[in-house]
Amino acid sequence: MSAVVLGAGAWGTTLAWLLARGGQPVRLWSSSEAKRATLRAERKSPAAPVELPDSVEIVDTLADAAQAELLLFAVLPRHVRSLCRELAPHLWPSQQAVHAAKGFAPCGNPVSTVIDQETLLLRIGALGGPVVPDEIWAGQGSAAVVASRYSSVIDAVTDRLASEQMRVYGNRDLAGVEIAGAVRTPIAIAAGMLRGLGLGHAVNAVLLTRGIAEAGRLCEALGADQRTVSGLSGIGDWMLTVADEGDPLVQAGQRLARGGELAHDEAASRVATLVELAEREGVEMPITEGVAAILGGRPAAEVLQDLMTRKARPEFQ
Amino acid sequence: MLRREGIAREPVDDEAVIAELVDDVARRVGSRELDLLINDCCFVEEKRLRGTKDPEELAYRDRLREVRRRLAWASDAELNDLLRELIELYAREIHGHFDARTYANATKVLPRGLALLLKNQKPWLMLRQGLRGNFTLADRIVTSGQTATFDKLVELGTVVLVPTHLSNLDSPVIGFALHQAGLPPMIYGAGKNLFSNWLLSYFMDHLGAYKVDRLKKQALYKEVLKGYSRVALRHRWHSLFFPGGTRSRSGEVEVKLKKGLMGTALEAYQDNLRAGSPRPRLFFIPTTINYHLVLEAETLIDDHLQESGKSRYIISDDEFSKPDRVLNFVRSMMAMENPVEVVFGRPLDPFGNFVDDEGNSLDPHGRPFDPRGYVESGGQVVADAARDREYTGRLGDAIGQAFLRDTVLFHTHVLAAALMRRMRAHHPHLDLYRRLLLGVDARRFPIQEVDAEVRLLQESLMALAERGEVRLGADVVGVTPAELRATALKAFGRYHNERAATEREGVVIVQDARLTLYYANRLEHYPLPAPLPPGGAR
Repeated sequence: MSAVVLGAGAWGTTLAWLLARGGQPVRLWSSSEAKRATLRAERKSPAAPVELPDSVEIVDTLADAAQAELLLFAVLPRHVRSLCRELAPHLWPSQQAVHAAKGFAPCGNPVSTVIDQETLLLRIGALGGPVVPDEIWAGQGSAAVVASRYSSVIDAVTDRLASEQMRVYGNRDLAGVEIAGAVRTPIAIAAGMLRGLGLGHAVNAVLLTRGIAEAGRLCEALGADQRTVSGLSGIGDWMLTVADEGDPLVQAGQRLARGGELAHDEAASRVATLVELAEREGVEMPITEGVAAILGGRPAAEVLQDLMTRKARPEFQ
Repeated sequence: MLRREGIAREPVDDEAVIAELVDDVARRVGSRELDLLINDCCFVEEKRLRGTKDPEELAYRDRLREVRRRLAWASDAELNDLLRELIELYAREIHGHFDARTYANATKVLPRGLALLLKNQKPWLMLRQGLRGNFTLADRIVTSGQTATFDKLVELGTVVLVPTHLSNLDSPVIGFALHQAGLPPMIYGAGKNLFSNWLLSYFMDHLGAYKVDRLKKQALYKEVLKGYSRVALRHRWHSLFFPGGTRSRSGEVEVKLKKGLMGTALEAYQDNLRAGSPRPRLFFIPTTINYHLVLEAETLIDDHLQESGKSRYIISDDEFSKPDRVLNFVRSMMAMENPVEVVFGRPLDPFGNFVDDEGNSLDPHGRPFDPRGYVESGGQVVADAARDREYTGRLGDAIGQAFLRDTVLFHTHVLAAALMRRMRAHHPHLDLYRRLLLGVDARRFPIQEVDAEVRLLQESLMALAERGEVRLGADVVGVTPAELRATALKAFGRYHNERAATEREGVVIVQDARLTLYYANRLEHYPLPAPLPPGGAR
């Protein structure tokens, strides 16, 4: 099955590299003309210093990019809608789409819903899990989860992506994987803050387990399976994040805890979207709301104290 | 051989249809464990028929017993024979009850007969007058929406009409609406129980209804029903399904729909593609049937509350199971308020995409495309039941959204909603069921307070209507809250055993909270602001 990766950041380029192994043809598209030129000339980019095999074709137009049976969206959630609108005239109904965006679109919709709203594509999925591009380029192993209500999407991604280096699991709970991916952002910022405040492993453990609880509540409200949060796209990815000092979101959290700026508009937008969604659904998400409060200017230590002194309650309700 | 004029364009060979149906169902269930399937069928039915004295049912039971006797020693080939025997039995029952000869005359008889119904005629008067009369039904049932597109699609493929379902009168009403709009009649499955009412039975026979025995719970019978739908759609017999499955008990617009019969359309579409049919496409027409007052409102809301409220509600309401309630219900069948508005919505393909006048599916930006790629790979149709369930789910969501968009809200709904919201504002600590049990003193509201709530609803609903999210009756738009209140209260007084609400000395009293809830529920799925605080001041 022919494939195209839309977006040539670190993750998009890594996906193209993984898909192209064994000489299978892959198209790679970037909205940046300069990035396309670099990729074409040097077969690598600053974001992904791994050499792309010849079977990766860099394409300039979306009309060319769309000539594939499987489309992988590796762009930021806020860019998905405009990309879909440009792509839509070139699509046909037998195509399948998967996105790797870890966050909801600014309107509060999951990215899969945005693709559904803007294109004729119906068979849509999401990719999640604890994947570190550097480790992949170094030949280390990892695992990912592909979620879709359509088994043909799971099969297509598994066929193209699974290898000795990459184990791929399927999951029918698309909404759950998207929620787990979205909650990763406040978890990562909070982990960075805890690190910045000099707190130890115990608080990180609390962050992760209570993160599962609040993501689970959102899953329940949105008709997703709470168990998904305990899988690769949830706790699997979050454990990686909490441990990864180099994660940009963790670093941003650290800066915040020390009185600095977030300097990460995308992350701020994702957290705000989650808070709005939680309010709309009547779901309590104290960690996410706490991170939003800090982004709004409240001192991190004060918010942490509020969280620790909330009214006592049973662990499971 | 029977001619199904109006439905099929060519004479239909009934034996060929039955043979096709038997083959279709046998092929689809053939991979299951046949002995279990057949045994389940016999066991369930024999249990149901225990004690029956009906000669027809007794003969049927004996036949099932014979099948069960043979089942014990049946080889694989014999199992197949037994399966086909049972399928054929049900196929003849379903197909055989459809009387196409009387159906051919439907459009001649229906309008006059239905006019009598809608004119509150008493049964004795109807019998005395026969079906003579000079009534203009056109001003009682208003038809609107996408009738021109509908008319074109009928020629381009097979149309599946999917209406909302509030009343047993929906079938004759929709039959008339089709006739009035110059559209072809539809076939549909109607519950066997409906045929026991002489009046309804008359219209059912004339509306292309085939009998569906809802007491038959066995899996095989349901498969034959689905198979019949597939066969009908493959033959381009335009069909009608009530996707809510049954009448809306709560009065709410149905947004969660049953997908069994809807799914047969997608199967028929794929069958058409495989067979190289020149007109393989199927088009769904979401349709809303809107009444000021609903014939069976009291019975339906009672059913709903007993089911959803469980013991909390049943505490003091067993009076509703008294025989006089049943008599009232029968009497009420003869007295329905008018007008009725039928809206034919924008057509959809079996995947939930909008369709244009040429029968093309449209992408979200209105670009036409051929949807066969959703089910094909490499030019071949690929069977995938799980995929098709998802597609049908998407279609169900699209139909639910269309129902909300094309529902017409009348003054009775708005006033009822205003009154329920006043009860909520005054008793926010009580749940719905306890609010319904409040004494009459707690259900009295000054007219100024009611009018303020009505005004808030009018404004909110008009904003929704401007965005195309709902339709409003003429008696909601361009009238003052006081006018709306007065006309709605008058309407409530015309028909129901007990008025939903009345007005006395500057106070509106919720007389029958259940009935008021039923009409208020029509607004349930629309985004509306919170009720005004007690006193009604903004």
